[in-house]
Amino acid sequence: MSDTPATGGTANGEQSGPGGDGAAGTQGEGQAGIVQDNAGGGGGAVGRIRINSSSTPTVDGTVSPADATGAFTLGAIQLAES
Amino acid sequence: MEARRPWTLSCGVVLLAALAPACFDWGAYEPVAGTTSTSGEGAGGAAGQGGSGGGGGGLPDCTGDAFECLSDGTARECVGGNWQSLGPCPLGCDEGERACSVPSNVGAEQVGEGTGAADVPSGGGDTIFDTDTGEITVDGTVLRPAGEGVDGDTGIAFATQAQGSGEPGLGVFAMTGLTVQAGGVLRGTGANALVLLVSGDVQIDGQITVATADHQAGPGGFAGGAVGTAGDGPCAGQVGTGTYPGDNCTSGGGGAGYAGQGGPGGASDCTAPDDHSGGSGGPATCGTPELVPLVGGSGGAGGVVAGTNPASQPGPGGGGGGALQISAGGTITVSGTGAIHAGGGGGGEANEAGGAGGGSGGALLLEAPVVTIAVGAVLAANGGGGGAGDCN
Repeated sequence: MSDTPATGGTANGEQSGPGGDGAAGTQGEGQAGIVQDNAGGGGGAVGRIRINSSSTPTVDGTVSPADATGAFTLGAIQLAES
Repeated sequence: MEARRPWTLSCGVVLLAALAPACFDWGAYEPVAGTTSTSGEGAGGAAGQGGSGGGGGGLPDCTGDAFECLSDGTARECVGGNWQSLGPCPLGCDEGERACSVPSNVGAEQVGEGTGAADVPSGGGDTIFDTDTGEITVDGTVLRPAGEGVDGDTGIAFATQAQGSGEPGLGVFAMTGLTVQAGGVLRGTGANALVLLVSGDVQIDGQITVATADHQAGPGGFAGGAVGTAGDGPCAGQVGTGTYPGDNCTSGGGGAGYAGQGGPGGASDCTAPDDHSGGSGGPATCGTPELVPLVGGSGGAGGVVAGTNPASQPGPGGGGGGALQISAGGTITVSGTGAIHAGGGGGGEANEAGGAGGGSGGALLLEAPVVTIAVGAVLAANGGGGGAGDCN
């Protein structure tokens, strides 16, 4: 598991529909299940990732969801109220 | 598991030297200086009064509205000519902003409650952190027994904490350091979200996971729906429209939403009136970018039974990914072999029925003065795939 979407289930039989892929990477929304006699279920959406730090964090690895989705955000550490 | 007690020693020293009432009475750490009283009297008064006043009649301890970050991890500000302690700054201190940096979702004082470090070794099975009881196990061996407070052997503290209505509770583990060795796995289980408070550094060369692979939720997430029902949680996938006796077609369940929209279930495509609409995907209205409160993913909808067909056995919806917060006073480093996962579960397998919806990804919150996600490292909160329809 990284930024590759979780694949929807594979249809079993001509009159059955595959499931929609789960969301990942730059795709924030789950994919629709495919229409058939017995149709596929929809894929789940991405969650959220947040990094708070005092300086600009170094992010060279893979982050999924990607920042293009708005589901990955950076921020400052919370300050105590005096 | 390495057990260290540096803070126990430190507390003992402070207690003996200043007769402070408690190890974490941070106001007692800064004696008031510069009064006309003898130094012993002045210091004693300041400690007993939490730094709010020294001996009478002398020059002021400080002037104006001075603010200082101190080397012992606390801060103080000048009020009426006297230093007043602002308590611990567990995630740093900002003199420009005149404030301590503190963790999200929990109290600042909780970061310092652990007295030992956690080291998750490679091999030997997953190290399980139970967010409901505080128990830590590996291969059935109990490393930290269930219970709140500081464990005498590991020095790891545990507490549960409620959030708002309809939100999961928190299972809060506090420690002085955290290492997950390459090949090692730290896995969160339980209903509460997993919070790891570390007063020092975090090094992740292995894996931390609050993900789920089936209809059960990760810690702090919501379960997938049973057959014929919507998933759990505020952004759950909805179930497809119903069938009637003799019907052989069923639609798919909706996937759960969170930061994005869940995918809708496919419509069943039979001749009317046997055609039915797929379940709606859950909305993209869950959680906040700051992850305050800390909430995991929602559940996908379960599949629908096809009429009275006894062979029709839809699957349950996928569970929502769990929620994880790591707050550290030092650094958080996820190396090229490290990964943190909070993925949602896939829709369950169906037999002669429509597919179930996938669960949405959960929540990952990392916060420390310095955070490094190295090349090759992975942070993932992906959605689960929808289940396929089946028509043998």
